Amino acid sequence: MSGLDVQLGPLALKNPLVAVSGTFGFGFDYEPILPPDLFGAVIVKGTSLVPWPGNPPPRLMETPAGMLNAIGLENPGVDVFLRDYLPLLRERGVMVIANVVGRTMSEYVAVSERLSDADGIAALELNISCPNVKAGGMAFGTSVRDSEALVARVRQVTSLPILVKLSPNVSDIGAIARAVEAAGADVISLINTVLGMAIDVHKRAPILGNVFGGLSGPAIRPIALRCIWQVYQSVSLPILGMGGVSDSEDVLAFMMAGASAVGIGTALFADPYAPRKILEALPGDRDRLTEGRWPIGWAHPKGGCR
Amino acid sequence: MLAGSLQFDQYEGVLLRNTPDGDSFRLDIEVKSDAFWPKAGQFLQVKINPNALDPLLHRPLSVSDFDAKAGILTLRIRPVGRGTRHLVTRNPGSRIGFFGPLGEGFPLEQAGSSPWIIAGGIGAAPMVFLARALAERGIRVRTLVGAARAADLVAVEALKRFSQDVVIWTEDASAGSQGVVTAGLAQIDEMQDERPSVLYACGPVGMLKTLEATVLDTIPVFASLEAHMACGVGACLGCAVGVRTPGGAPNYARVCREGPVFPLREVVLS
Ligand SMILES: Cc1cc2nc3c(=O)[nH]c(=O)nc-3n(C[C@H](O)[C@H](O)[C@H](O)COP(=O)(O)OP(=O)(O)OC[C@H]3O[C@@H](n4cnc5c(N)ncnc54)[C@H](O)[C@@H]3O)c2cc1C
Ligand SMILES: Cc1cc2nc3c(=O)[nH]c(=O)nc-3n(C[C@H](O)[C@H](O)[C@H](O)COP(=O)(O)O)c2cc1C
Ligand code: FES
Repeated sequence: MSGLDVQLGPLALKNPLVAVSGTFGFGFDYEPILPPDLFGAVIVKGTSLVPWPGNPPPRLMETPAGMLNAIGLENPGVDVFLRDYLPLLRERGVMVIANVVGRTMSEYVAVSERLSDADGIAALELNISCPNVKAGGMAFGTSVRDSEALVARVRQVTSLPILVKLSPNVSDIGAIARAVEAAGADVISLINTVLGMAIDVHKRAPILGNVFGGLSGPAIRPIALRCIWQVYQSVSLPILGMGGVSDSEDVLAFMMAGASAVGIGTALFADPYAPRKILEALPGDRDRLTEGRWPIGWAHPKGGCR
Repeated sequence: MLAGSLQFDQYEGVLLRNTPDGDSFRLDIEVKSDAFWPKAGQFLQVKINPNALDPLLHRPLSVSDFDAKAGILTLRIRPVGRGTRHLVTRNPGSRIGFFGPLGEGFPLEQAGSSPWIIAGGIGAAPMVFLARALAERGIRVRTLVGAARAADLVAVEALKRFSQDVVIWTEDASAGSQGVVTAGLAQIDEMQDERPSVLYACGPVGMLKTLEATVLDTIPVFASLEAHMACGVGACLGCAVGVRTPGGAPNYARVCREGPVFPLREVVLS
């Protein structure tokens, strides 16, 4: 797959397709049909300082062209990730981006420090936008001040590139983007899931164990495009765009909105072969639609902020 | 949870026959591939409409039977919602896409000398393949099946083919004995030689809870559980079931990966 390489800020990806956090485990669950080295980069499951058990079931609910999840960031903790998974990913030459979560700012800092000491991690993605945990997560990502403070503190303890993952569940996503840019972020990734819920009419009660969940999949694609567009207009940082991407035209559309690379998550559940199909179709679609070039920001009117 | 333990692939089968079976449907599907080699208790992620984004997710369905010589996969499907209703209305000749086989199957090596199968409703689906696998190992199995009424009973003929005997329970006494299927275990404490060495169970949560309350102290029970699934391969952590921990702290296993079959005493039914 040559000629698909793309630059995401400081990261040189062999192709623009990134496995997003939480839908691809630690890289090996789809191994028989989707090896982790297929992707330009793999973002592993959100990882905390100590193991988190996650939320009580049910954790999933299908919705029209999408799904709600309330996993609650179940993960075995940073030490297990470093010991059991990172060496395997390194062996395979995967560009690994670690997704960092915490309940407090010091936890984010401590996890980031542990990850920065390890060999084989290309970048950190600070998840300040998970809607499924009671403390931390989205609580940071919806406040301009907290987002800025958190990124600034992690910036002090790592020389790795920092991606900051933003929530669409805010009134002014541009303001958050500007704050994390000022604090030293290298890349903005978005969107995390959209807060939603489902009700069982027979039981007259919420379906998810956590009441609320995060909506993902094709249903949120227009929201993702809008958020990427707004962030592209607000800051000069490169963008990793995600949210409902399902085919190669989606990849080009996300780039036109401002993304330098594009993540795929929920679409794997609908079609585990989607990433292969996208990578096969991209060169042709790029020739056909954008003269063989990556159309980053092309949908913006000339004289937009960049 | 580490790499290397998975062997699945994507397949497309051709529907040969779609036959009503109790309150469900039996779909016989030709799968032309030497690589497809499911084990009893494993499941498949079946695509509902390959050309649409809605419904988005696959549906987990057990391998109800697999005739390796003929290359015929049997699914038994109870239409309960959009996806299953769509599948049971397919006509012979149509293509059915799926990936699998997935999950850990029934532990056959733990069968002992006199295993029993206990199935409620569509829970009989995976038990046909289990009974076949036990029979092929020369192990004789007693099978207990239950449903609300005779017309709802699933897979009885197939189970009879592979079991030493089949005991039927219906709530309205329209076939077999009157009662729920677990009633067949009431006298288990008084049984001597006839006592099951192990119980393989699949059915509604209520049935599993009854087993938990009645026989768990005396007989090992392996139960096939259900959960809503997204990936089916262990990547999303969506199919969690609670597992018992010494201090009672919350901990979860993945029904799609560590399961769907679990030792009943290790899980917390919800
Ligand atoms: C490992 C496994 C093996 C299974 N094997 C079989 C089988 O052999 N035959 C069979 O008929 N069914 C089987 N099921 C259940 C089957 O997956 C669900 O009935 C199906 O997914 C429902 O999809 P739907 O679109 O028809 O229903 P929906 O419209 O999605 O929902 C209808 C109802 O079914 C419930 N439901 C939805 N998904 C699931 C699910 N995954 N598990 C339990 N309840 C669900 C919903 O809450 C709702 O009440 C199995 C489930 C699992 C997890
Ligand atoms: C089951 C599931 C688990 C997720 N877990 C995480 C996570 O641990 N960390 C994170 O930053 N985002 C997580 N996400 C959000 C995704 O990374 C992504 O931002 C979102 O789903 C939108 O992309 P998609 O529509 O392509 O899935 C999760 C999403 C899903 C569906
Ligand atoms: S369904 Fe995704 S982990 Fe089980």
